[in-house]
Formats: sequence, C-alpha cells, structure tokens
Amino acid sequence: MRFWKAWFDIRQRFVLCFVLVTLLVAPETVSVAVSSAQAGAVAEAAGANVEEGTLEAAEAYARMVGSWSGGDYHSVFSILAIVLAVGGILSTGNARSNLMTLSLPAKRGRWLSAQATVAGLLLLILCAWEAFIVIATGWGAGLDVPEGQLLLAIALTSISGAIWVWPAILSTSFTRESVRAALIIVSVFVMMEAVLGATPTQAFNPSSIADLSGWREGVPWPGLLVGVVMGGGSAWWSLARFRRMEF
Amino acid sequence: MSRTLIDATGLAKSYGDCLALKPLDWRVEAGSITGVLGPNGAGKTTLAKLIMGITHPSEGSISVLGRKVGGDPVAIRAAVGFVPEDKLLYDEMTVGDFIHFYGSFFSTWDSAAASNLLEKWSIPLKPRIKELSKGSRAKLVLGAVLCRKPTILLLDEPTIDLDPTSAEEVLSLVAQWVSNGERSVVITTHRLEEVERICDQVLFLLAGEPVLQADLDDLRAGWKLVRATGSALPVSETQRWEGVRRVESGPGWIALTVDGGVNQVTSRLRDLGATDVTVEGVSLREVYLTLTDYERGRLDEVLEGVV
Repeated sequence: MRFWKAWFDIRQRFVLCFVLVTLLVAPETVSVAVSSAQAGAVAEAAGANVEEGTLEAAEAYARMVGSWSGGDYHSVFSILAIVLAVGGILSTGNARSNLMTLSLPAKRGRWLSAQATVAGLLLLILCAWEAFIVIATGWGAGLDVPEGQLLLAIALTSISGAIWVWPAILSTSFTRESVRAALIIVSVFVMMEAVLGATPTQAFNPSSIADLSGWREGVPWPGLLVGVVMGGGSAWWSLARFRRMEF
Repeated sequence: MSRTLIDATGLAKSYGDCLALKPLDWRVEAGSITGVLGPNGAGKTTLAKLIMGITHPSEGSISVLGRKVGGDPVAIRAAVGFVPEDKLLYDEMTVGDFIHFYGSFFSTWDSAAASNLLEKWSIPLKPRIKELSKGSRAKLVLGAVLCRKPTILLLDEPTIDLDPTSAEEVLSLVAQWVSNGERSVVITTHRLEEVERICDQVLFLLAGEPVLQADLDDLRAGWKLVRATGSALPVSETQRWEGVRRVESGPGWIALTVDGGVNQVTSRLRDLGATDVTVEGVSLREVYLTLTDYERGRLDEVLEGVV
C-alpha cells in the first residue's frame, strides 16, 4: 500500500510532466519531419540522388538529438524538477495529513523508499515516452533511425538528468523537503556551472564530454562559495531533520 | 491495580531555543480518559507526536505499553490510534480507497465493523474524501481508527467539526471504548464541557508547561469559588493567600477562586469582616480561565474603539 500511496501522491505531477515532455518534444520532432519532407521533395525535383536528401534529413535529426544531449536537454529536466518540486509543495496538503501518515505503523524510511522507487519508475516511463516520440517521428519521416544508439544516448542523458531530478521527486510528500531539494538542485547547478562551466547533465553525459572544453581558468570562487554554502546548508539541514525525524 | 499505558518521566521537547514542552511527569492508566487542555500552541500536538514516536524527546523519556518510544516506534504506532485535528487527509482518495489503504496496515483491522459504521453514519464508499462534509470526514477518520482496535486512542479535537448529535455519538463511542478497562483515551480539546462529561483525568498545558494534572473528581473537590460581601475587603492581600488562584472584585464584593484550603480562606474572610460568605463548585471553564490568567473586561477599552 505504500507504493500505491506513492503513486497516488505523484500521479498528478506525473501526468503534468507527461504532457510537458510531449509539448517540449513536439516542436523538435515537427522540425525533423518538415526538414526530412523538404529534403526529399527537393532531391526528387532535381533528379538528384534521393539518398542524399535522406542523408541531410538524417543529419538534421542527429543534430537535434545532439542538441538535446549536449545542450538543450537539461532544460527539459530543469522544468521537470521545478514542476515536480513545486507540484510537491502545492499538492502535499498540510503538515497534519503528514502527521496522519506518520502515525501509521511504518518507518519513515519505508515511505520515502516507496516514494523514490515509484518516482524513479515514472521517470523512466517519461524518458521512454520521449524516446518513443523521437523514434516514431523518425520512422514517420522515412528516416533510417539508429534505434539502438538513440535509445542509449537518451538513456544516458535521462539517467544523468534523473540523478538531480530525483531529490525533487523523492521529496514530494514533505513540503519542507521539497524546498530543501529545490535548494540542493539549484546549488548543484551553481557549483557545476562555477567549476565546469557546464550543467550536471552536460557534465555527466558521456556524449557531451567532448564539449567540456569549458574548464575554466582558475577557480571562480564567488560561484563556488555560493554553491557550497547553499548545498552544504541544505544537506546539513536535511540530514539533521531526517535523523531527528522532525518535519 | 490498573496498568500504566503511557509513562512519561521528565519528558521535554525543544525546537532550537523554543521549549515546546517543559519537563512533564505523566501517567495514563488503562480504563482512563484524559483530557489534555491548553490554549493554542500550548504543546498538545508536540505531546501527541512524542507519544507516537514521530518526534523524539529533548530530555526525559516516554514509554507506551511498557516500551520506550524511541526503541520501536512502529510497534507503538500499531497500538496508538491517532485522529488528527485537521481531517483534510488524502483528499483525492475515495472513501473505499481510504478504508482499504488504512486497514491494510493493521492485523487487527475489523472490516465488518468498518462497513457497519460507515453504513450507520451514511458515508458512501464512492465519493472522494474532499467531497465529504467536515462532519463526515471526522466520522470517517474516527471510525477507521476505532476499527483498527488500538489500545490507546489519541484524539485531537475529535468533535470540532461535528453537529451536536454526531458529537454525542462520538463521545458515547469513546466512553464505551474504555469501558473494558484495558484501553485508554487521550483527548486534546477546547470543548471543556465534553471533558467534564467524559474525562476522569485532566492535564493542563500552558506555553509548554504542565501547570496542572489532576483527577477530575479531586479537582472538583479542591477547586472552589468563594464569594463574600463586605466593605473594604483587602483585594491585594487575598491574592497572596495560600490556595487563592484568582481574585475578582467589585464595589462591596469579592470572589476568590481557590485551589484547596477553602475553610481557611472563608474563615480569614470572615475575620476581615466579610458577610454572606458562600462556597460554590467551579466549572472546568473557570479553572481553565484561572490558569490562563483570563481577565474579564481586558478588551473592553479596545472594543469600545472598534465597535
């Protein structure tokens, strides 16, 4: 029943994210479809080799996937994190309903682990849905979609994104922790930007490692300091509260 | 000899610099109904959290059913049925979902009793909880908690959203609940007349401080209102007398709320020339107002400007 309740708590946010992902992915997929159709039409009219047009479309498609995994994809997760964290705050109800839950004979860690597991599964479904849209669009445009590579690229990017979206999902039952999770996420971003000149998604994504030429000269102390203070403070606060089970 | 179900020794809780509950020695015996009283923010919810092991004491210890709370909170929560003050819980669940969800946590769950109670209270299974009236929500939660058959019932304002008939039903249920002598009920409420009706013990908390805990019969026997008439009765002097908790006075009269030593007080009043000295019992409301230093007419000046 803990898992059922976790799904119950998360489901509205999941549906919201599902719609959000679809909407965010749609413009990209439409542009791929259009470019592939145009390329095909031009090639045929010129009597040129049709494969050339397909190749161009495939390149556009690859650029799109590349832009996702290397540059833009993290923005999807940023929005997801915000939606999930804010959704958590808004839909949590109040502290007293938490009190009712906490009065049940189950350890707090078990509530959280059920929440984390269900949230993780739903995140995978979201990622799979994105992959499905991209692949389906590619097929619809008559492209030779490298499904295996594509899935791998999306999976790696998704996992790296999930690493920092996860705290927001995990915290959905507990208002204060949602705020803390949001603080941790922001501080991780600040630190990563400060040190690497890249977001966590870019930094952890193998396909974009090559682009991490932005190692900065010298250490940007102000950004690093802000990140350390925010992240350290939030983490300490969370741990202290968790240990005392006060929320 | 009755069994001690809750045993707190030097129990205190602080949040940072804020002392939410000052050291409390407190026992709840099987078969008793204890009313925990106090203004908002007095520490009642903190005490409930401590009993359930949701939060840990800063000082002292608390045992429930002989088990130290910090050691095995899950077992303790299985034995303590909690009804929160705010019944806005799991709003999106249907009544049926909630009953199924809640009951699944307890091996002692009596689904037949749950069905009977819901039918009796005309609460259908299909609507979402948010669609129920406040009264129905309150009954739903209380019914669910009763059907899990806890040894200790912890009720936070159980009748606040109920109409008089439903409140009466709930109070009867609660009184019936402890009648086998094996269970106990702890109620936090502001409805003092209900406490007077069904409780046999009271605990007053004031800004986290346990200012009074007593058997209600002893309290009724010890607390009295002494009225006297007479000219030039020394009000400030009477305030210093032993046992005098509160003094009200007007032209030619004085009223003393006394906690013990009533005979001494009446004779001293007579010595001072008071006439018509009478002794009355006090209601729990008077005790409450005395303990919270309520001052009649305190807002009169303010209200004159507002009204």
